[in-house]
Amino acid sequence: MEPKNRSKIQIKKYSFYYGDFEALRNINIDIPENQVTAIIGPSGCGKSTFLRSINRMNELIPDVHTKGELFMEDMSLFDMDVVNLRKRVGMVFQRPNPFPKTIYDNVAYGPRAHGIRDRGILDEIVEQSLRSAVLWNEVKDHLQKSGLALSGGQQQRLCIARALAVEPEVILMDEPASALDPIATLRIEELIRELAVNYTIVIVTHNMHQAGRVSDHTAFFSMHKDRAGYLVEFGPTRQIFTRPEKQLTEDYVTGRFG
Amino acid sequence: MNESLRSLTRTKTQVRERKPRIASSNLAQRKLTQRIFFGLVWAAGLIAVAALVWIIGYVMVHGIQVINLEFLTTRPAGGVSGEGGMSTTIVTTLYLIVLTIAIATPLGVGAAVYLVEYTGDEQRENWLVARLVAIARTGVEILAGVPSILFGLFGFALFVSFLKLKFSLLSAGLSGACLILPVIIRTSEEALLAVPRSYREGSLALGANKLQTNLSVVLPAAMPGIVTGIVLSVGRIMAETAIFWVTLGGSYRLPQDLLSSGRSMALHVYMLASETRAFEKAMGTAAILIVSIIFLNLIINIISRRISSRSMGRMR
Repeated sequence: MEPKNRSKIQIKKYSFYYGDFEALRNINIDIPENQVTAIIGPSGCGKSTFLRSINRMNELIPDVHTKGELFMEDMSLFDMDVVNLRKRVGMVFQRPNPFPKTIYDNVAYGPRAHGIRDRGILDEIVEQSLRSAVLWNEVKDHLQKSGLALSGGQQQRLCIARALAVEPEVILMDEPASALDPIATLRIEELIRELAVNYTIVIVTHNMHQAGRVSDHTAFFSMHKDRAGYLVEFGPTRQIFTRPEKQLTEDYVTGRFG
Repeated sequence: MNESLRSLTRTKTQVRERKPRIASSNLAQRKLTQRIFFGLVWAAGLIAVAALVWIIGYVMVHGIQVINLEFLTTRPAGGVSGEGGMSTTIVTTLYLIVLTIAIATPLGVGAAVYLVEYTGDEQRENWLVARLVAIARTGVEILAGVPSILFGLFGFALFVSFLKLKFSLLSAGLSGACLILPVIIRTSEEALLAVPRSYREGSLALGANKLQTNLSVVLPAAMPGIVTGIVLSVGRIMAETAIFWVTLGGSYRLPQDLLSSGRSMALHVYMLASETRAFEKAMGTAAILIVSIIFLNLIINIISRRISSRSMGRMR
């Protein structure tokens, strides 16, 4: 079944290597626009590597190379300026990583890096982003407090607000709730659903129930005998969880392995 | 039925009767060794502190006799009698600290930033850079262990003689900067390495470039560690004698410009003790020196605690 939305990111015959080790083999996915795409699969199958390929964060690691192509709206990611790419493709990490700065400065960091100095515009962006991340009401009276003074769940929403502040089109989330308690997790999941109206979201998760709750489409990754990760199946989440085409997918989503 | 029930109870009893292999019978002995060890550690700590207190106490007791406002505010008169106070040496020490730190900090922190943040990429691309970086790292290690008088002789040969800067604040500042450069580089390197990678990734993922990341996230996060290195260096400059003996000269007059000679507090202590009869004035100067070093440490502790609490946000 084809995604009904037009595709935002196209991955074509993409392989990724750490030195000689092939971490991803021949991945083909079209990630649909303004929907949530979940990446699930057993540990070590390259989910995070795949996610970090989309904003080219893997380039920070020495001795890596790739084959194949990644496109965003028909433009190759490798032809884009990396700063411009990361402005358009934001990222939220596994562990909340606010900077040791005030809440305000955390959110204003991105816009400032992109050259916005006007205090009025910054104020507006900060408020908007915190509102979108459903954090505004909790922090509006102490924006000058350090971001590190917030609770784990609040910190993660701050990181989401920080990512939203540079007005990205795509948001990558690497197990964004794995370090959080169940209530904070629920709030993040609700937030992801709300954000999907305006943003294309790709989320890596270990938690299959989470994938079922938040995503429109699910990609199931597994690995070959030589530990190279590959895409087993990609489709609408409901289909993956109820009528998967591959036996391996069914075994995984029903909890028989992984 | 009855039979089987009895056999069941028997097995149960047997299980209960099994002797534990690990007994806590050596509890008393373990407590004793713990107490002995505690006593040893405590004694070691006591001796170390006592020695320190004794030295400081000795200097204070002997020094306090000559310390008064006049001693602090009049300049040394020179001569073998060691007449006069120590005012110019206080000012000269301050000049020397400011000058040395101003020269060494930008170089040292810059070098550390280069070594930690930038060498990775370049080393991969260019073997020559990789080799040079390895040499630089080893060089810093070795320099940190070089006796200060060697820096003094180097400074004398290069700055005083060859560059004709004479015995002067500038010669002393440059030589002092060479002395503390390894300290600043190493402490800054360690502070930078302690900055979590997640800060850098968070910044880069927002589309900030490397320079912005380093200036706005990495350096501020490393600041408490860098400040610690600078403070250690200030203490070193205040305490060093030999290196300034051969670069600063020893004039007890107030330096008028960068090229005039001078005398730091530590140097004054040395000269009073070795060349005059005014031993108690040497002690008085030493007492002031110790008090200023203690104050320096206190102030810096407060500042760095405030910096880190502001960034960590536990206070407000």
